Amino acid sequence: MPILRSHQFRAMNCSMAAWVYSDEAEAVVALGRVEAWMRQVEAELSRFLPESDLSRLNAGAGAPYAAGDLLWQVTGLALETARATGGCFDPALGRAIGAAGYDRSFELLAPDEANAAPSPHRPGLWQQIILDAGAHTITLPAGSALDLGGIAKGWAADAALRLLEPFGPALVDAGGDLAAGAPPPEADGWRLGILDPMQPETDVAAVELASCGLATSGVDHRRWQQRGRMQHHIIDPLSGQPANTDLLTASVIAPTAVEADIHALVLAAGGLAAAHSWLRDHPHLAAFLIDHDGAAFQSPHFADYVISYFPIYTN
Amino acid sequence: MAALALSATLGGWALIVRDAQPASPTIAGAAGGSADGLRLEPLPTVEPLPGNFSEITSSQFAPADSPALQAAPIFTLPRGTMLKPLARSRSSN
Repeated sequence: MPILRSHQFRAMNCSMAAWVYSDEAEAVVALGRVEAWMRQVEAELSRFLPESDLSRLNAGAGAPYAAGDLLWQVTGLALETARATGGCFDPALGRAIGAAGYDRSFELLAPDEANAAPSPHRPGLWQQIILDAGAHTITLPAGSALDLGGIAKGWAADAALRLLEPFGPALVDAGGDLAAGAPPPEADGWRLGILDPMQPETDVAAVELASCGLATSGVDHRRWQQRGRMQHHIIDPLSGQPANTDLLTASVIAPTAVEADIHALVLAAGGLAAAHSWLRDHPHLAAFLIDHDGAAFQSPHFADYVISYFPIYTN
Repeated sequence: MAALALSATLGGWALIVRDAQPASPTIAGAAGGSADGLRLEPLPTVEPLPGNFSEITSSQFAPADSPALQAAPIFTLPRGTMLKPLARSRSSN
């Protein structure tokens, strides 16, 4: 059996890791490239780094901005997704999430953020974003800001997986957004856990996946106080406020990590009732949802992937 | 870990209920002795199934637009020990 090689690192303020089964020495170099790739994505798409391509685009909202390739690609994908989801996924919520207090890297937020002033929300601003393919420019509506937080990590995980796949079966963990390649040797899939948001030291389910993505979105992390109110980073595209969702987390299995990332965010923001109809309309997805009381719901296909609920691990 | 799953089929959906409160002796027995911390008082009918999952024959958790309940059990996998997975999906974005 080939050697399982791995590499763990931090990027995008998350723990990340990658694995590949390969006897080729070059596979180690490829694992290093995964880290470099994630750092490049962060450097260009972070809205917290003032020199990033995204920050420059946001700072110049209202005028055409000559975007780099990476920003161009992800913005294009984000707008396609916004159209495909009828705006349920909205990349133009940068101002709204900043107004809610999440205007710097999460670890820098004070316990009670009160500095951010509320601003009027204009829903559907993503429809006014102009991509000029000839000039390779992006024009944001004046006063708006792009936030690619709901799509960039999943997209980056899929791309990182492609860096590793020439060397053997591979897996990428981009801060909990997982891109799984071909199954490991002598296995049907990669054995993965879904963290229990009620008891984070355990998992609610263990699943086995291959050639697909798994992502979780939720309000269990990245919460803060603003003027005495608990806020979180999942914004309702209509109100521009942190979503009033009855779901704590939503985990989605989809053909790719980016698709899983997007749909997990949409489900987490929409809540349980909306998730029910959303998953009927997207039967290729498998979802596992947990509400604020700890009750868990799964869509019909999810059980196909499950090895065990509430697994007990031996190591 | 004090958690156990119960299932109900809700038009293809499933609901798993778990609780970290003190154990119910009845259900702890049905769970094969590993369900310390389980509490199930709100559930009207609980039929033990093999393994550690039980089927709920109640519509109390069905969403309003859910079709009628189906009686088929959906959890037949035994709960057991396994090697820790390489990675865990979690919300961090």
